[in-house]
Amino acid sequence: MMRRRAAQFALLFLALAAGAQVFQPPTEFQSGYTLPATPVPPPRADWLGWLDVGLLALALILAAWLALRKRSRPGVLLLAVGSLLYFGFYRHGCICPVGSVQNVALAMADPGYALPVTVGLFFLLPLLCALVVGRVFCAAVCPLGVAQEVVLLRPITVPSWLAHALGVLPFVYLGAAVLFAATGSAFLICQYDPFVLFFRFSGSAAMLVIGIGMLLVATVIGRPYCRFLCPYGALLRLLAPLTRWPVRITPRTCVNCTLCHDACPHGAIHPPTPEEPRPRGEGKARLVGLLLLLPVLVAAGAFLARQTSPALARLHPTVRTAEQVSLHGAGLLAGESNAVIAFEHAAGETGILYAHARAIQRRFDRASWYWGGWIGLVIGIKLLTLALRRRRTEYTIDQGACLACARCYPSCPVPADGPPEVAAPEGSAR
Amino acid sequence: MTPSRLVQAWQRALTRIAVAAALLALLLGGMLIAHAVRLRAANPWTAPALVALKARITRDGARELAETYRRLDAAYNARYFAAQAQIARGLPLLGGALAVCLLAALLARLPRRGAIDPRDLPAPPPMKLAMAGRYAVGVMGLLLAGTLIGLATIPAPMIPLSAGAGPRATVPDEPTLASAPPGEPDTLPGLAPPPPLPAPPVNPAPLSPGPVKPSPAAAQAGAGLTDVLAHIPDAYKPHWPFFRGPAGVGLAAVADAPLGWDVTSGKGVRWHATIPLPGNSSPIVWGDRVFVSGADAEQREIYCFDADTGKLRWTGHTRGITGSEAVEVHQADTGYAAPTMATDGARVFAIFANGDIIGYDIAGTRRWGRSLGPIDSMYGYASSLTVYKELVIAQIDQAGADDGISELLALNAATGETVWRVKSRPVPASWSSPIIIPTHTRDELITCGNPWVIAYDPATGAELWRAAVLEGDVAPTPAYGGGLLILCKPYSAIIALHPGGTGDVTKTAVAWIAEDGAPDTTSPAATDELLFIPNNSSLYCHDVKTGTKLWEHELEANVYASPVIAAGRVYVLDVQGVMHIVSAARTLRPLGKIVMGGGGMATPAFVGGELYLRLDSDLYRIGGGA
Repeated sequence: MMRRRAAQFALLFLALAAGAQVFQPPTEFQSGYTLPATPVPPPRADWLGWLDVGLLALALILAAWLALRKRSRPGVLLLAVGSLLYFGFYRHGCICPVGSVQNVALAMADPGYALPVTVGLFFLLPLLCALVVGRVFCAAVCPLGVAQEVVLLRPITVPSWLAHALGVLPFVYLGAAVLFAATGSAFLICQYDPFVLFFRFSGSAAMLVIGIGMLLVATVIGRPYCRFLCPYGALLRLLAPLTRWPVRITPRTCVNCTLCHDACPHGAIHPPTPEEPRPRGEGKARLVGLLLLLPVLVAAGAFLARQTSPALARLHPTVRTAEQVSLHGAGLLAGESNAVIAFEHAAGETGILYAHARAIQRRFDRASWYWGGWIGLVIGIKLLTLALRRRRTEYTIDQGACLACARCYPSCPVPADGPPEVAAPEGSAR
Repeated sequence: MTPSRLVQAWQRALTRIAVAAALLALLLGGMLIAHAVRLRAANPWTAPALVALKARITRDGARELAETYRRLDAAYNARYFAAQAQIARGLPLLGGALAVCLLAALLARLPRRGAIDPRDLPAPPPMKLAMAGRYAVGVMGLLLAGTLIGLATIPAPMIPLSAGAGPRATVPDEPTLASAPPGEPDTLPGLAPPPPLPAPPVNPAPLSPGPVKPSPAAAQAGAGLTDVLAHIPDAYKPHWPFFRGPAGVGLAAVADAPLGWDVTSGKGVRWHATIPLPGNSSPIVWGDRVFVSGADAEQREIYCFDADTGKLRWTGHTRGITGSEAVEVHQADTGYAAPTMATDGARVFAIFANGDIIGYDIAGTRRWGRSLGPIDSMYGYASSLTVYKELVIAQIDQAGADDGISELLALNAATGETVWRVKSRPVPASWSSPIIIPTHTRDELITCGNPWVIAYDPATGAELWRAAVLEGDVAPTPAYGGGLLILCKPYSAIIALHPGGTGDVTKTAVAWIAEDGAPDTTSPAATDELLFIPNNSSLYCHDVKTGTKLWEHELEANVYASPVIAAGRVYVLDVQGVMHIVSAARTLRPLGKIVMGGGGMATPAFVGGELYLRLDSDLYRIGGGA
């Protein structure tokens, strides 16, 4: 208990001290203008970008070897700390596969944006890896995940019903991030990354509060960001169940001891299902009903999201500026607006500004249909998957949710290095 | 099984390391916070003493305090940056201490193999919570729906349609017809209904070669020039009914045209008139009437001048049109009246930058008026109208291709009602004008946008073929000669296409591509043998059949007006108001250069051996034995 409290206090001190430095404005002698914090690290030489790709690939291979072959939790943890230091603190969390989703979305929507090859590889490599060896990227390479992993002190179990409900959010966030990136409005994932300010010792006060809050939550709930928010995790979750060489709790026969279930802080291990039969008609009727509900949910989501389009468009700086210039022109703008002042000083043409703003609004009108439809689809499919009956005879890993962190290995009482099984029983532990 | 003594000792050591690291982190954190407080107090930007001193120097002009201020400022800066440096040094130490603390704490807690006693294992938990999960997901769905509804209640940004329109929230999707009941002519309040319209003198015959027989006179006028002139309706040939002449491709069906004149001295000038409102539209001529449009941000007018005397016969306007809105055009080169009018001989039609379109009879009575706008065109709307049989055709390409609001409309020339409409043309705003060309089997309405050149049936609006060969801001209108459609990809290429195909002909219809570059605004003109294109202050001549460049002629100024081939010569008006005349031949032969002094934006009209010329607000009739 004392150790936990000490760690929590220390974290708080770190945050306060970092904030104390970050939020002091630099000395100004001329204009009174406060320099904003740089949102992204400065560009690097090309070869350093390729070095990052190489290190990412190497880290993924190492993570797969440690998690699947060596089954070493300390090894995974050591690699995770190394990744945190390099990709997090040294590389300042950029570029990372999580944010690269937006680069890819922008490149697909805007022919004028050329996706750097290295960024494309950062996006693809962990996804390809998930198809082969599962989510080893989350286990030991992603600095955001590792930041949560190392502060997990006393895990508590999130009720499965709550985990199911919160599990929808990463897909909603993914849709929103793609929407805003594709419309050229914002890179939401980077803007609202709760950990990147720790890597850069720089960020807004609001994000500092969110970051500290997320770390505090992560001390008792395993990887809250990865499980309930991370948009890249949503993609990995879709691909990981197809993995060729999945994580196994034990390569031998499961003795149903529940220890792995208790050791997994991520709710990725499901218990065996009860033996008693249930009426088949009940499940079929529910499935048919949910299948019929699916298009209704998609349509309702699309319709509702379309109504939000005007509000969402306001997040685009051009639309905001156009509105402020318009209100200023009509004498309806209370106080001064930096955007209006800058626009007037730049001698901008209001007609052209308005035309651009309207074009962006129309882009949002279209994109919001897709986003809403996507939300409806996700909820509908989630309901369907919860209505499907699966039979499990032993503790089974949910490969989509498993972060390959290797926490369950040491808890398993079945020695992994014993004589090989002759034939694994049906539905053996995976 | 209990952990071995070695493990216990190891765990104890790790625990002590964690506690020591935590204490060090606490100490460092406390020091850093103290430095942060000092940093804030020493901030020279907000320090009360410095602020007060600066205010006093500024307010009272106490310049003697400047040296005191400098010394104090330097002291504050030294303290500020010292504190900042100490924080910069302390943070990594703090991070290291915390990392050691966490690592030691975690390692001390790691379970060891064999430390778990599998005896008394609890029974597997039953399957549960699937239904609770569904309910929870349902509740999450409702929460998300509530969030979306909440977002939907936020008012839309107040973006006006134009700089002068003021804040507004919505944009009408569809233009509205101004005339009250369909079929009835639009009248302004308080005005008497117009008299019945005389039958148009035009034989509304199609252009395609089959049903049309050119008259001997017209055939003689167009002899040796191009196939297209031979196949336009006879009634059009003595006139200049559209932008770029009776065929709309920069060819004049005249046997003679003026070669020398002087607008300053009046030599060779038959008359001069002033156009009341500004505009860059070109004059059109029908019989004894010359029509031209003018507009500014508030007013939109058309003018009918007497071709014999130059006197203003009547003025038309767009006032009273339902749904009409002012727009602001920021491109002075375009202006509010860039589209050229069109006439079928009985009626004249005009469209303006805001999308107002009107139909007047040639006697000066408005027959209809409606708004097709406002048109979202970043440089201002500039596509000219054309006429086909009883149809007035308007190409309204606007906004972006993804916006899906570009369209092509055919209006009833008598009533202004929409006869057919092609919605959601897959092109962004363009400034090119539609033309109608006769192929051997049919008439084709050609429209140019980025990237599609699309041909339609002008009678029905049905798409005939399309080719993705253009890019950028497409303004040039195509030429037609030697059976080839000549297109300009701004700045990059001249492309010749075989018309008459079906479907996507991008890969099959291209006859040749000349990489010499193409203009961004002016249009090409062609005979059946030669192609003439002004670009970058030069006039280029190419072989129509092969695209080979034959010659280049220096013009000394850029060209926006379109060249016209008349009486075996090429007339090119540059932006400085200089008319360059060269022979329409395979070898370069300059025939004259007439300096008129600015305003050369409109394409001249050639009728009966004379030409009508607009230079800014001046309208000239040149030739005719003046």
